[in-house]
Amino acid sequence: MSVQERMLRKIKSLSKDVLGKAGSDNYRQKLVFDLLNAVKANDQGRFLWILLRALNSHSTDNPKARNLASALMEVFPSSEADFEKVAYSIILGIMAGGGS
Amino acid sequence: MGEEELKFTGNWFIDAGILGFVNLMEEVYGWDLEELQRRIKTEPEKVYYGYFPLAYFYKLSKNKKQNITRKALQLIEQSTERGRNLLEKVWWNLIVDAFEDDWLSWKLGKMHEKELLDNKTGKLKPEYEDERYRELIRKREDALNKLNECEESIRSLLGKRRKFFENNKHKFTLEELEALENAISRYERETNNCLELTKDALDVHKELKKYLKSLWGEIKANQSVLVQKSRFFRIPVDSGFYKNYLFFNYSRGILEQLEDTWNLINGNAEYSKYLSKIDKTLSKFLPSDSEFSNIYYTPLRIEPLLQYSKYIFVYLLNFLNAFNRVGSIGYMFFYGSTLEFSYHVNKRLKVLLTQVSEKRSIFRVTWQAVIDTITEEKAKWSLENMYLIQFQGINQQNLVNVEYIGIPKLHASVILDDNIREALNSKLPIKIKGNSKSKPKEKLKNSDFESIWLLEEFLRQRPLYPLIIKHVWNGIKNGFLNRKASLYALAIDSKLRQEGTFKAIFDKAFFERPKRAAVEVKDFYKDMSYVAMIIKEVSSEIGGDNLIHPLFSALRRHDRNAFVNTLLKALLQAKSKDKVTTINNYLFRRVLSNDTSWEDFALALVVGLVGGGEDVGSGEDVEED
Repeated sequence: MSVQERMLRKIKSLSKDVLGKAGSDNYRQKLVFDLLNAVKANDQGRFLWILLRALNSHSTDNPKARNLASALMEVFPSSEADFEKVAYSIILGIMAGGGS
Repeated sequence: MGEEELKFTGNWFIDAGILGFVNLMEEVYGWDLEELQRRIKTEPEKVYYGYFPLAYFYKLSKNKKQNITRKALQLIEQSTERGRNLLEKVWWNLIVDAFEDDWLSWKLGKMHEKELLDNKTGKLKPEYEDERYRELIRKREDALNKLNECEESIRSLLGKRRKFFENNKHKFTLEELEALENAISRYERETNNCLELTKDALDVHKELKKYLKSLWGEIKANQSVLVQKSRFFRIPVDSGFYKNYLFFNYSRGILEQLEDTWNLINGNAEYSKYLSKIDKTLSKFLPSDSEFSNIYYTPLRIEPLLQYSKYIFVYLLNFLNAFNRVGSIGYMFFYGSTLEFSYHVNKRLKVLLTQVSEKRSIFRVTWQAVIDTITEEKAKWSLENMYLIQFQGINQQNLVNVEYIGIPKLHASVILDDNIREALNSKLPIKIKGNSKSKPKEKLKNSDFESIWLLEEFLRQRPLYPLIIKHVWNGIKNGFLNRKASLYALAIDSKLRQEGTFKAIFDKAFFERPKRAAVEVKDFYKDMSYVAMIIKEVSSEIGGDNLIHPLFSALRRHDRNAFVNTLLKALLQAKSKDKVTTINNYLFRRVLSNDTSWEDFALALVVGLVGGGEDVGSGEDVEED
């Protein structure tokens, strides 16, 4: 069953809260760039590795990080189409966190 | 007592007749629909028993007497008669007068005595039953036969090289005889044998004409004919459509024709088999009762219908008058939901169709007329249920190729919105014409491009996305981009794609769809338009010009991942973070979370980057599909 829009919103929102303010602008930019490359290559393993590493270094004491992790556990591993949606929801969440 | 106003019944063949009736009255008396409605309300008897029969027969007459309609207006206006008496007054005073020349031509046109005779019995046919007439025809024939030795002089008089005699029998037509009459008047003072013989023949012709004229004058004066002379004085009317229908039937004399007309107008369904059934005898578009007895309405009788519409036969008789003749294409009639709307559209069509010569443009012209009418009359609600009924020609008793062109309610409701319709009513260039390819870009004009009419494509229910992608590509290469029309088209395309996935067909939401459609299209448009503006604003920060081709290429490949990825990477460089957030939100809502129509929303972003009317070609080579 494909990932529901509600779930995507939740993942986006949690990503924003957890990683949207993590580190410097440059750090986040680099993180998003790496994540984008992983999605482009449709490499779920690499995407998760980059994401989890970022979560581990910046948000271990954040309860929302646990929520995000459990949400990710629900949707991974997923089909190619779903992976794109989930991945971009995370990326858009991170990018939204840095906005004014 | 006043009659009810004319209005459509819902049966298209009756409604075509009603419109045909309106057209007829307008053509003959110059009354528009409003004036006719007023007269029907105040003096229905005069309209149906007076003005109508004269108009109908007048239209059938070949030699239109100019003053007849003026005379009719005067006579009927002042008349105190009603019903049958009024019809008889019109019949003997006006219709007989209107057909004088036709009747004379018919009778004078019989150039040989044998044409008057029944092949089997050798007796006079009933329609030529008059001894004096026969005698004069014979006399004229003999006199013309004598011209055999003058064939050369006849040829030079008429300026024709054809053979006028065969086996000592002349082959003149009435027209040639009349032409001879004119030609010979120049030689009045000259005498030679041939001129004398010609003058003799023409004298007999004149005598015949005079005799026939006196007969026709008598029936006008007496306002009647003897029963046995009825066929001789038959009103010469013919119809390819109603071949054997009542007064068109060749066996009906002038008295029977009057009787037929009376019963027809008066709605006497029992009078004839032609008037009793709702089948092919009434309208050629209907199936025949005997051939299609399984069709539920063919066995029905017309009697009950008369209770709702007393003059139904009048309308059915006017069926053909609803149609406009279009060059070599055939006949067509626009059928909308109300008489007023159909009347106005058809009136415009009549003018527009004079410029049309190919079938493809009929659709375009019809819609142009519809759009003009909607704009002018504000008859918005009329747009539901419209048909374009066409037939190529009347082939004996059968009609060929009847087409119904309707548009779905959903489409109708979308174009009822002024803004959307205005945007769709645009011609979009999609490809440069072959012979304009060598022109410098700055010298290109609209006429250098092959274009599509967006409204036509929409009404033909074709997907708009492929057209807009071509238009955008043309914009990228040549700098002609209609931003507003493109975005509206994408919004509509998106809406229609979503409708295609609608599953619950009998709940309330389904029936509410048409009402909501335009609102949703506008919502989509607003969203697209806003984000297109935003992306244009950040274009310089993200290298927008270099993005156009990769984004366009991703769309061509239907590759959402590549599209979003490329765009997000570019957006990472942007400094206006709030604008990036707007674009990102749009991407999330309209592209990522939208499997059915993400391409429409994604292309809107490209439209934003390309901008309107700007030269955006970068020279990068992306192959056209």
